[in-house]
Amino acid sequence: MAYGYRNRILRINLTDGGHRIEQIDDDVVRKYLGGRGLALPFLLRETRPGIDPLSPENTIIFATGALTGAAGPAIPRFTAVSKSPLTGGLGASEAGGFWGPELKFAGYDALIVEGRAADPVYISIRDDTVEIRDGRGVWGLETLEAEEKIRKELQDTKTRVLIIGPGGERLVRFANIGNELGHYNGRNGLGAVMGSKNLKAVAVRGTNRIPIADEERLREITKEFARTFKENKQGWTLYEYGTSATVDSLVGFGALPTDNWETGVTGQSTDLFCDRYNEQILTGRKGCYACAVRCKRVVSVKESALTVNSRYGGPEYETIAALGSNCGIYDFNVIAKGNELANRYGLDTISLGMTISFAMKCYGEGLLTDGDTGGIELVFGNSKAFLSAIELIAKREGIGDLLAEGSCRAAEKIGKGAERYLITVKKQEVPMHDPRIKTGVGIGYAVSDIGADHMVSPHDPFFADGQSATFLGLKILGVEHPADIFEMTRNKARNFAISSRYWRMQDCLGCCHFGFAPRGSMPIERLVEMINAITGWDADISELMQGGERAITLSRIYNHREGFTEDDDRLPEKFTQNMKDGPYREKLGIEKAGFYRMRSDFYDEMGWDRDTGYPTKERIFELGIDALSPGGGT
Amino acid sequence: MPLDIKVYDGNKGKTNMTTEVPCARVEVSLFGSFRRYLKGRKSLTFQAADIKDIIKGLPIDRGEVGLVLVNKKAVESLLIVPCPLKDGDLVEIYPIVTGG
Repeated sequence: MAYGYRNRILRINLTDGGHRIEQIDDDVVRKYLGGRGLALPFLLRETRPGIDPLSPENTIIFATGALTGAAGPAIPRFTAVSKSPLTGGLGASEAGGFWGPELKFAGYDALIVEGRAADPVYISIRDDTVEIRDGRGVWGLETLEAEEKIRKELQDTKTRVLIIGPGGERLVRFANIGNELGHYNGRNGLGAVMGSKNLKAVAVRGTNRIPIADEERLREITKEFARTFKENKQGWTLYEYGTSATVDSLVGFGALPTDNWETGVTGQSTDLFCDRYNEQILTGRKGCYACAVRCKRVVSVKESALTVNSRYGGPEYETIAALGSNCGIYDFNVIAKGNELANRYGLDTISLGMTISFAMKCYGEGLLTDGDTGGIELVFGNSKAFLSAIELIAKREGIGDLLAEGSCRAAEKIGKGAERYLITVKKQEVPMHDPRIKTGVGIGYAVSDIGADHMVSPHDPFFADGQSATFLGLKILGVEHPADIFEMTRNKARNFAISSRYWRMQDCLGCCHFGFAPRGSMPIERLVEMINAITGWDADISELMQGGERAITLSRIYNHREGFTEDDDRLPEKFTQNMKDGPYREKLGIEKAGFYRMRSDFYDEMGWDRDTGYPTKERIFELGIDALSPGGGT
Repeated sequence: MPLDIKVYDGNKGKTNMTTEVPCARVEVSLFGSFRRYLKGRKSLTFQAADIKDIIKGLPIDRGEVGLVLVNKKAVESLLIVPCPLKDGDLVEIYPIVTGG
């Protein structure tokens, strides 16, 4: 008997309306852990290279992890996996919330959706009852209205709804997928994949308990976590400030993305400090299934002409910077409104903010005119123009139709050298972390197969002090020597390679990084204990990390077949330039030769070819995934 | 966590900080998650000879400090090199930047 997972995958074909349940063996779950690891073999086998991501030939897979839905802390997550309409490579994006656990309660580890419905539909899953329902009545609605209508139609207020907004319907290339109005598979434009399939939502209700191998031990671990997580500084900060405390430190470094990364600090940056957030807009905290941390924010806007529906949640750090400082906006009321609009329409706030800031830069430089913008004065700090731009993008009206393509494709259409204002990797806009103050994050941006991503590995500061509790706690992974945040050495590449296996392991299993060391409070040893208590496995950390590595390597294999090479593993030029202001003014521009040497060191450490970044035959064989690699490696 | 930060009060005399003479009198600002140690104050006044003494005097563990600025200049190699202070210095202490 399996514990923790269900050994079943639900496959739905929207073209013919059929569905079937497929069995997966215990050893498959243990090998791939879930998430991307579980989904990628299907994507590799069942979709042809070179397909249009928005065609019916593309498949979208929602894969939980082996732990998802067990009543333990910080294990609510699942991954949406498909070909990305933004990058043209692998699309993979995790989300927390409640939908992943509910899919498990309904009896499935994953849902595969193929084909395209002739008219808008939504899927309803109630345990073994699967329906493809007429979605014309909810098509065009914003996320909240559509969610409420679906619950009403199903006469079930407790159904969990995975949903796209009008942005996904209109194929905005950075449209997201949400659940419970506050949890998002944000990146890679996977909401547009759902939109291309005429699929508005997937409503799930499950009534089956997930069997747990050692319920008592899991209960003890869960209680201990709830009792102690605030004693850990990271845990306390996540509860108190969410992720917004990041702003303060970045302002100190002069590294808060500002005006399309033109600078990293201005006289107004301190307006975005985390205590101001709490004073000005915070009204409550919420969280994910079975998790005590409650890092999500509830906000309301006071003393403002703007109104914000608090059900959409509050901005997190990435959104504060992407929609705030990066667009020259320093008013939390406006940022909260921008966040609400993005969530109403179903748009990824990172790519949204970065695409608007790119357009603001182009407007400022005369590459976009009033004629192009329809008279909108698209300058940094213009709140009205900023909010209008979000509406136009979601509706693909006016300048919004151009920007809905994402900044890279917009730059191609604008021409006139607009590409020099892009800050993207593999056509995906960078998140809000400056690699000049964390060079490992730069490697993450460059090598990430989903395009620029800040969640590839724990960030550099955790490895900086060899005597710190966080560093010592990482030694179980095989990390040996500390590395300064600025250095670019083989040792840093090694630390990064080791810890990226660990983080991908967490993603696959359904873990939230905010629960576990070093970013969260639970030590790695306890995490391994919890994994075994849930699943009944006798796994050690090295076996589990190999599961993470398998997912990373399969991602490489996927991107390679889609034509990606080492030339796509680039650091944006912006980060080779010195900082504009702050304590590191005129310093820290990343030296290219050193950076690409470290990238080769990273390839080496992963068992990939040092020059091409492609996994070696030996490594692919060791990981037992040679059948999924058409070329068999280099 | 109960805190007992010893704050220098210019009108009442010296604190019991664990510093060695000669001490400098400096203003200390804390940011992000460290802000709670201010207990509502804008900044703290310390008597300290070295930045490390200030950090030792706060409930901050190794590996938690991301950046220290003295008079808006970054302090390099905080872990190993002496970082002496002088009267009137403005010290800013920021937590590590962890992401997410």
